[in-house]
Amino acid sequence: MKFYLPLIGLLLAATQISAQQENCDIKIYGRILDSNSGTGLPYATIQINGTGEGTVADSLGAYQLANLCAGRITLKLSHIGCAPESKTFILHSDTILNYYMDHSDHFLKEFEIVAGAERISADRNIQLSKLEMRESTGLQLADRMKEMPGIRVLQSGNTISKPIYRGLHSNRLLIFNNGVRQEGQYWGAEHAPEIDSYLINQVELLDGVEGLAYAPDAIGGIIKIESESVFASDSLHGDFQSSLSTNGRGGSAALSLGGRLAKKLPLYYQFQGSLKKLGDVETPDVVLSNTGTEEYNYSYALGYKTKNLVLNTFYSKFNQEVGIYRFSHLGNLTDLLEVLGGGRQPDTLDFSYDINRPRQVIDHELFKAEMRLITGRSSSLAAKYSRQFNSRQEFDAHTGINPSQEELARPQLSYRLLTHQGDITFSYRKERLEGKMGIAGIARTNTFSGRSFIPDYENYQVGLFLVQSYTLPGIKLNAGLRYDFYNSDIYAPYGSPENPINQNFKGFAGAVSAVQQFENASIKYEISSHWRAPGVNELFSSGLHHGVGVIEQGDSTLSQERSYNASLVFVKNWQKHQFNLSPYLNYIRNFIYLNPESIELTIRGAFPRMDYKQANAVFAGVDLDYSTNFKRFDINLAASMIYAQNISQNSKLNGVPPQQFSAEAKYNFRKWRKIENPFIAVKGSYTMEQYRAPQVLPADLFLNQNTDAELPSSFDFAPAPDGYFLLNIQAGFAIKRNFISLTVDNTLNKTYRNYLDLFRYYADQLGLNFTLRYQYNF
Amino acid sequence: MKNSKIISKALIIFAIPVVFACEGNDDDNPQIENEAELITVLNITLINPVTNDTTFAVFSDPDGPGGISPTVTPITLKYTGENGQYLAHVEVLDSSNPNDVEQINPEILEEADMHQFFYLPNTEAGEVVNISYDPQEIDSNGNPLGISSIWNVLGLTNQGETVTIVLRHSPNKGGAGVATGDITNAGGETDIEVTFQLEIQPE
Repeated sequence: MKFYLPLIGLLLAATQISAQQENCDIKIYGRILDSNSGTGLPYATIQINGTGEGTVADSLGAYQLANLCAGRITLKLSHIGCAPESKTFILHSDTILNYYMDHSDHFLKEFEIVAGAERISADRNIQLSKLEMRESTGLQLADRMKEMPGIRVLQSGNTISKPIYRGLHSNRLLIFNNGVRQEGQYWGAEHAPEIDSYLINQVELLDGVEGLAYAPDAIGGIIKIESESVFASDSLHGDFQSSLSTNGRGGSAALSLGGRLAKKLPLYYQFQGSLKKLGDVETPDVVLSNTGTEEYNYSYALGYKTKNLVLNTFYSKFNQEVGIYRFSHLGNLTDLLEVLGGGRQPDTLDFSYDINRPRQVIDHELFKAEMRLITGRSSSLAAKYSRQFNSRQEFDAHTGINPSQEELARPQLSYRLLTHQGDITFSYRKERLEGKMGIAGIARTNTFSGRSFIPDYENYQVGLFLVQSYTLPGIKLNAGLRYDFYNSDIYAPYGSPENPINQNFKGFAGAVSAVQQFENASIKYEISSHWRAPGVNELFSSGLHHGVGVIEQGDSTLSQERSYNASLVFVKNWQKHQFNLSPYLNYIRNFIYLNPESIELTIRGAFPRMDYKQANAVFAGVDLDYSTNFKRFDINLAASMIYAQNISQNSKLNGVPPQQFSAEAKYNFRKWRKIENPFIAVKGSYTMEQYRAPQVLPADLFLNQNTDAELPSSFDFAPAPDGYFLLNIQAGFAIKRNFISLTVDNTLNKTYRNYLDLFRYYADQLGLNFTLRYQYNF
Repeated sequence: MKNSKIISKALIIFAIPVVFACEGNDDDNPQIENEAELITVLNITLINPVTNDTTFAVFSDPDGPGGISPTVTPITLKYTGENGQYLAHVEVLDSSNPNDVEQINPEILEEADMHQFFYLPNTEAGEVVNISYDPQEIDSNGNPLGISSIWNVLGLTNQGETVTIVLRHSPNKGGAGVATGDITNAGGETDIEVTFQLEIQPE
């Protein structure tokens, strides 16, 4: 969607003071206003072309740019739901510049939207603002996203995390990194997305219609991540970012550089690299042994841009080694029972930077080439190819009895996935009609070896899509349709290269939405349907899952999952108040889940056996958000509530996020000397106990080896942890191009456990943590 | 035609990332690495040196966890009316490849200080059998390993008597009672946990 953005009024109230040569102490300030209501529009981004420098307007639409040099200047203004708009003029002296933006006209967006914290129009994807991005530097993707409505964090211990959106994650919540589907994260809840946090310049959640141009299987949604555009600026620019934390006694730093290679050629480049080193993290009471992380990542991009042709290539490499909490790997249910009974305490509590077994070694490599050809006044053709390589090695704590050097060097589990993706998209706009159509293909070669016994396989997928939007006065209609064919060949140990087991799935995905715009309110209605082919792990896995203490058994006769999703976004603004209400209902037919089947005897004792089964399930909930400001205070209240149920069995589902409420107050201090935008923010959040957790079946039941026991269709080994209240404090300011902030997480040093942590049986969450962040832009 | 020259120059530069972007391996048939070591069989042999009664019990699960259920046979002993003594010996095997059945015992012996077997009769079995470690079999620190054990038979079984045999990896061998076979303070990780029915019949 794009707001057609005529500058109804451009107020240039320049006060002429004697213009000095090389005067670099000039300010531009003013407000961004709605041309209809005359009220301020908060959180627009104002950037200076050529330097990459910029600012974000405050909640009243006021902004200020300081220390500017006299001369020709181009300002780029971007706002939620509006295409970026540029204005060039000669700067002599301090200038008041007010922008009037028109909110009455709607089009499907053509350019990517840059920033914005609050949702002004209902027809806008949820994004992280520049400020939120800056204040979460160095954190993993999921932890950076947790400020977004509906987003929760799934953990495997305190160092591995991935996002959950409206109760769904992993193979139901797709991640598109720089336009490329991120592959490695599908294989399990304990596989975090392999993305350098510092490469992330923008995060957004796509809506159902727009998402159809990306994939048919976005049952839970699509997270779109973009790094900075290679074409950001002609002159040399970049930033240095760093983050230091007391908990883990380490930090990370990143450097990024970009610019134009040659004056004559419209050729642009961007280099970026980051390093991270953290030691063992600590709960309020103990050091969690072997929870360190080590990362080194780099990327580069080249771009070529003429009036009619845009070419760019991108390469990134992610390398991570992460320790898994030593006392989370257990031999059998007796061990688990002892841990749950508090009987088995870690015997070493000393802090260390060493990463020992159990650990994961993760590599991710991405290469992408993209072309965009402007084919007419309002049409373009884009083509993209990418190659992605994932490698994951897991080294278990237990190496077998008396291992040789060779055995020690060999991971207990090794995945290697090679994926090629390509797509061609034609975009067009004609008067009130706008849309795109295209074809997309994926080919994967995956090999697994080691303990979990998933077969090798190859698959490919081809899809055709069409996305349209039509704008009428006061209402905009969007619709999309997509057809995909998915074919997969399963090799050893079930089939062979000569005689593979062949499976294929096909189907339509579709979505329609309507956005109504009122004077101070906006409503978006959407219904969508997606489908997902069962994953190879769901079809064929067979073996003991050590981390969770269950035997998982795939079912090769599973059929595809289909979702029917209805959602509503209601946004209301009045004076300084803004209110968002987003209810949703996601009905999933043939939802694939692990169903407790029997108690099975192994040489390590008895374990519950869980089979992948299908049932109809529902995920319903509401995300609420209210913000206001008075004087120098910004106040925000948010709530996220979700209900989920297995309807076929009439039973509860495992791992559903508990209800969460938060309140934040931010005080914006006056500018003092060179210190700009000083603030202090206090945030309290309360997470309830998951009172709809499945019933508890203690490990003893399985240990008694009563293999005839009837099992319910869902259970847990331990009750859901109690609710908890957390207090976070953040303060920061800017001096020229330097931004400094200090964050205090878990200020009360509260000991608690998190239902959404797969290691909740074994360890508490992190205690008090101070993080100092520094950023310098040039 | 100046434009095409610029484009060709640009394309050369674009090729640079491709040159670097080849770390991953396009090999369609990467070598499948060996399976991790698997314990699939535990045999226990008991001999009464006085009566020469020899008995044998087995827990066997050649396809590992899941799949086909394991086979477990009971431990059957004889009671002569007065207290008898059996010498027991366990044997651990990897039979996942039937053409190459691997003995695990030598490896356990080599890492004796990192392992210990525990013999745990249930309450009923505790009244009819008393199991202790073979005092001859110790690790380099003088602690028991438990491959060999001594079973004192005290009476006849009725019903529901079981003995669970546990192999712990990295136990705390210095923990209270651990040296005499009490698992309570042993810690470590469980490698094996197998429960056998115990039948003690009159001779």
